[in-house]
Amino acid sequence: MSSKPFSRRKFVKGSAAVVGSLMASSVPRMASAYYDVRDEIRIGLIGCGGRGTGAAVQALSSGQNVKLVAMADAFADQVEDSYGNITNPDADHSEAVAGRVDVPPEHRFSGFDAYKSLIPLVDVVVIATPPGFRPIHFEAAVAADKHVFMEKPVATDAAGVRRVLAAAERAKAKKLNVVVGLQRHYEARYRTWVERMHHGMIGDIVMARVYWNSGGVWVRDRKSLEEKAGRPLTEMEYQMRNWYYFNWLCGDHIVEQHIHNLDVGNWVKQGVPVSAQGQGGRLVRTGPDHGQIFDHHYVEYEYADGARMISQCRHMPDTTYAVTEAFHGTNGTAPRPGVLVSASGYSLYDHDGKNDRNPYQVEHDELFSAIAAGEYRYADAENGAHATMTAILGRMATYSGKKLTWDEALASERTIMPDRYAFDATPPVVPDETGHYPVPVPGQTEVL
Amino acid sequence: MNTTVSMRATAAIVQVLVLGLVSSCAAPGTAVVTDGSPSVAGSARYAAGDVRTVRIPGSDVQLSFVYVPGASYTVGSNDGPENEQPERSVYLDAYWVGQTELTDDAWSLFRFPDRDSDSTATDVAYSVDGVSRPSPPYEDPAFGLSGKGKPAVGMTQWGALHFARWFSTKTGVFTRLPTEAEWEVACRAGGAHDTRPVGGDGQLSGAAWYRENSNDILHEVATLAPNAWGIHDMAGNAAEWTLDQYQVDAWAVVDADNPWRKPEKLHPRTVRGGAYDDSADALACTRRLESSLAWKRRDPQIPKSFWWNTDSPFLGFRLIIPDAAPASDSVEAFWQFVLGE
Repeated sequence: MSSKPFSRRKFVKGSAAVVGSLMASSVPRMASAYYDVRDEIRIGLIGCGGRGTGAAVQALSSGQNVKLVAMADAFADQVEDSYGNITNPDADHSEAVAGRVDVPPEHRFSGFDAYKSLIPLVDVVVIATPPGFRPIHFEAAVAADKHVFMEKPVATDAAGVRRVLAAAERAKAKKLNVVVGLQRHYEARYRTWVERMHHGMIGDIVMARVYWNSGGVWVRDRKSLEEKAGRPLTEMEYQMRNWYYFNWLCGDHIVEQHIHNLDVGNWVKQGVPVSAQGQGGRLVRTGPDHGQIFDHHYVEYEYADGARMISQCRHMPDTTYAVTEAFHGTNGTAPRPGVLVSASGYSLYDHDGKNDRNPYQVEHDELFSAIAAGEYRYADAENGAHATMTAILGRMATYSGKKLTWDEALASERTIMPDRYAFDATPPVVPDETGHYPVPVPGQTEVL
Repeated sequence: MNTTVSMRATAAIVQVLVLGLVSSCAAPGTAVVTDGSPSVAGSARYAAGDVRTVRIPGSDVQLSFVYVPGASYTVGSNDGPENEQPERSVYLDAYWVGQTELTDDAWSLFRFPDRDSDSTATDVAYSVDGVSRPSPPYEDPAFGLSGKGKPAVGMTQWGALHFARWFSTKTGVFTRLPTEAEWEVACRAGGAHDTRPVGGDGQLSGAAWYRENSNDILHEVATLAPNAWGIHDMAGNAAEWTLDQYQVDAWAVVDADNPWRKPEKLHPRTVRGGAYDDSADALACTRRLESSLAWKRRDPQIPKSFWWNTDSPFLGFRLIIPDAAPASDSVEAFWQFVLGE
């Protein structure tokens, strides 16, 4: 490369508008009409699966006076299971949540509109549904002036990302704290590592390599689900239960899981990619219960300064594992999280993480400490939306086989969401006569 | 079922499993038994170091077990950490101890239903679909450290016990985790004092993968020198689950006859052997490590996985076969007790 369009330092300045998250930076304490002077912080959980249940318990364990007062999920059985797990007297968390759960049956809601009943009852909304619903729920929470903890990713298509970005602006204007479950931002190993790279310890970052190569995740197959239910499921209910394999719900694993690593790339680069091209497909995970998603993606992203981010994600058992990030700078390398090495091979930083706290707990501790203090400290939604869009851009590139720009991808009007949300509604993809779903084909599939 | 009542009710039966019936020592030998039980249970036909193999039906994976004669053995130490004291003598019934840590090759046959088959070594009713198996984890609990020929790691003790039950059902040979005493005796190869393994060069690095030679990864089993009884990797590589509740003064209070500190709560349970990321000191055969809920700290879900830990990629297990096979009704009671059913 003959010259760099942007040096790192210039790029930092230019990217301030791109990444608006406050992260842990301090913001002057403010007096706001949005905060009551009340001891108790009432939370409601939307999305009562295993992760939502975990997030609720972490909120209740945050050391603040938090009370769970309402729960909502598309499925009544999920609400009841989650309630049972939270209040289980034998659970490890039973002491932490004692006296902090008050969810009478009339405050347990189910169905696609359950969130509408929950939001008015609470101060903080914890959102952990399948990601396709995130824009709807986040928008509603912000409209009702609620603080938010929401899991990643925050959308499954560009239209959803735009809704979240717009709602993020409103949340900022209202000074609502928003934390997104990209928990590496709340992990000391990453915070200290990225901060040093931002300070230039290994020079300008010219290449990023990010990976989530693993064996894959759960499958809830139709046969077992129907056996358990004792009846055939509607197509909508089946997809909602086995949501990982349907793009309108999950976004594909590049979005649902690999977002963590892509987000670290953006974090270090202090910006978002300007374009991406890549390839992917499915070779191992090809059954009807594997829906429409790929089992591998390889994407090469380009940033405004010409730096590249190489991205790999794979869900195939018995293949080489890698869930990590690495960076190459003009003066050294960052071979793995927490480690920096100079160009001449000397160790510049080697994080000792033995006593690091669990980032899943830290993100709640920090959020609720801000809320309890009446302070506005966290605006993660915009970064969450950018990380999500980065992953969606990669998916668009692998599905289409075409090089795409950030701007055209983000502007895409092609929605993958259903027209109507109901268990008797037809989802956006349906199986053929063999039970298989249409799988994207590079060169043929339209993504913009 | 009320767990407390069930534990009390089955305690007497369970004890029978760990207690041996008959045992005696034989002259050293190298007899090899393949695929099945010794013809005369509890006889003195085998010597320390004899090897027996058991193949998993429907696969080419076979496990090797090394004979440990029924006898009195020394466990604990008088000069180690407090939780190893005092040194004492315990009597153990004869058993066969896994020659290696359980590998991913065997664990995968259990973990993935599409790699299992309906075949069994006996006429027991068995169907691939009827087995309780590890749920797919969101992240690899082994962080890529395991794989073909390497120890299976990252499972809970409950998960390891489920494997043992599955293996018992498939093969018709009752297997379980070793008690702490059985583990320690196998590690010491019956030795009275020397409790740290060495290779042919007299160095620990010839016999154990640990911080100084592991390069911070798990290695294929049985690539270093075995101990005096021919058992590999008791020290280092993967640390190993035992069957016991951890109790700091266990050696001061347990029975002298086939001691087993029966679990009453989930943690702490006892882990032995040290791992690839431990210092040499942690590898002594007498060292006792207590399990901890912290080994699940990065599991963001509730309920946390029963099958997997998110933070113990250093931890696997090996199986043992009691030489005197227990009666089938006590076997069932044993599984119900240890699996909390």
